[in-house]
Amino acid sequence: MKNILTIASKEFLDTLRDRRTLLMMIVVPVLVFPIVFTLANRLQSRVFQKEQERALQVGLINLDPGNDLADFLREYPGTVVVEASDADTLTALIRSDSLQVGIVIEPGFAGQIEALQSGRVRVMFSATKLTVKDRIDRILDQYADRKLEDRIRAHGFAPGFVRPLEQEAVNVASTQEVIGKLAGGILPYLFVIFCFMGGMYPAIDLFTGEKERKTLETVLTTPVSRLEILTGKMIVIVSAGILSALLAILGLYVAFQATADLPDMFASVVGEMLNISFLLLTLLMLIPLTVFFAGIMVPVTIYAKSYKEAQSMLTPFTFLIIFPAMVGLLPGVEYTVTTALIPIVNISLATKEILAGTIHIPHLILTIVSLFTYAALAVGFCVRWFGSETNVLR
Amino acid sequence: MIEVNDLCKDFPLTRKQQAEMGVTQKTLRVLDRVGFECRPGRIFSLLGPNGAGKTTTLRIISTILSATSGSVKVCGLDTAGNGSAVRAKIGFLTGTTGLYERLTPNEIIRYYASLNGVDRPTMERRREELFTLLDMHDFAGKRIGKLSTGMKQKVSIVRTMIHDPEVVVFDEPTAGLDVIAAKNIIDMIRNCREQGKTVIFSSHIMSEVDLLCDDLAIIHKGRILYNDTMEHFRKNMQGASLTDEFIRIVNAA
Repeated sequence: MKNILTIASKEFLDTLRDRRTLLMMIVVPVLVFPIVFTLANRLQSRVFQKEQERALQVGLINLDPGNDLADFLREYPGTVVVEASDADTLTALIRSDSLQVGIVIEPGFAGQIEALQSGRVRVMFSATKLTVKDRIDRILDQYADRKLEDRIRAHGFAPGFVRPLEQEAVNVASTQEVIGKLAGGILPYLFVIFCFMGGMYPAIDLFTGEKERKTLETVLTTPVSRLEILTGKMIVIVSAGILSALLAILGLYVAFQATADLPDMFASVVGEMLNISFLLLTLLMLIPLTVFFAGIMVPVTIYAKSYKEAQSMLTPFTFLIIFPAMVGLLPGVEYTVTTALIPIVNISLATKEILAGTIHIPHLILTIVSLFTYAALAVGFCVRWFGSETNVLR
Repeated sequence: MIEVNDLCKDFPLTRKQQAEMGVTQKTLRVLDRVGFECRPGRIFSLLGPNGAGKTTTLRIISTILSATSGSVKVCGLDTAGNGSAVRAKIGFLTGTTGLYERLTPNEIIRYYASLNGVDRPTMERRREELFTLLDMHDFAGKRIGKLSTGMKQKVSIVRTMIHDPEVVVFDEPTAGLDVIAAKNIIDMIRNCREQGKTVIFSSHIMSEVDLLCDDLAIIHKGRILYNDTMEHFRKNMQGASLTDEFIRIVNAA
């Protein structure tokens, strides 16, 4: 045990002095979410505000001069109506961004309205401008609502005549469940990635790096057993992975709290969800998961001859891990006995259920037991691999 | 004391290696019935060209590699089955310094002392002695990455000697070093002899061997071609110089 602690503490010291590892293990997980959230939020607000402030440039072809829609559009606040000669010109002006939308009031429009029919208008727009169609829809809906009210009033109908059904929606799911199911899909996806990435650079440095620098050979000539060397190094790799994942969660929490435009209710529910019991349960799954990841990474890093080779051999594993981690984001994938046994998929679904407050305890136990089993198998493989002189001194 | 008897080592060949070498066998014999003896208070040199099997032999003595057949005894302990006990008696040094760039000499020495089971007071005493002997106090707290090759080599020497090993193994210890750094190593090898330690070192440079060794074995393609005292080698040589004699023996094999 003393030797394991000696190796682990030396590796911690060495790792914490490596800028590259430190960047991937601490700086990136802590800062990535606050930075991404702040930038995305600012960008979105700015784009939205700009679009709202900008007057809606409407090109109009009025083929039925007797109607009142043209006047309604001209008088509508925030619109600028420009008369156009034909549809081709209108199309060209929209495509060149001189106009945002085109309205063609078809012949006989006023007559159709008068005869209690539907008046026809053609709306021309570019789907590449995201908010334009919504803005013109709101304007036209207001015109349609006004006409509908006139018709109801003129014929003496009750307001319920055109709406025979009035719906009152009652959501029985708690806010935590709703947000938990939504955020719960993203959260495990993020910390699974950070668990892997956080452990990857120390793993490369502690095995391939030591081979490259010829320091591994000098440690192998000491009386310490290979199992002790492996255990000491794996403690550091696993700790780095867990630390990285926890820091990513912390970063996400800070990002949620600091994003001004999020509804208070959302921020407070997220705050409540990321509590001590959630962190403890997450840790209970993260520990075996990270050991399992270390069990995948260590044989690769022992086998690789150079830092570059190890990096290129481990990168495909990142993609292999992303796919099952994304399962939690897919609708319809449930947390069952089967999915509780599939590594990464199980942690993804379990976290989602924990956050939503709907976790099924027997399934959770199954997940934790299976994760510890996979971790034990992976470590067993590592021990055999590190014991082979062909792999270590390749 | 090191006793090597009928030592054989086979390395597995990958399919790619088989194709490159044009062979069908699944293993390659790199050591073939190697035998020699290194005695305390004497310097034994394993001389051979590159790829002769020197490093493999030293790695088997240090228990980093296992033998396919034959036996190796270090201080009376069979390396098969006594790996940890054997390694506790060995100090191992190579020409490539093999140090942690982000640690200081003090931290490295404490680390290796602890791995070798040296208690703290003994470690502090020996570290002080060796640092003074090699004039290392000025850079003891600086990170290895900022030290010169000569300074690094001094740290390697202390790392190797901190647990006062009975047997010291040097694998091409002066390879790639400048004259001053190489002199530190040569002085250390002589010191070890004076202290009655068993010293084995590998080299492919005859002049270095001539300067230091008491006993000599010439190894080529995994076989021992010559094994006797240096004095006997000098007396009976047929070539014009020691190097010529070494080349003559290798070419005759």
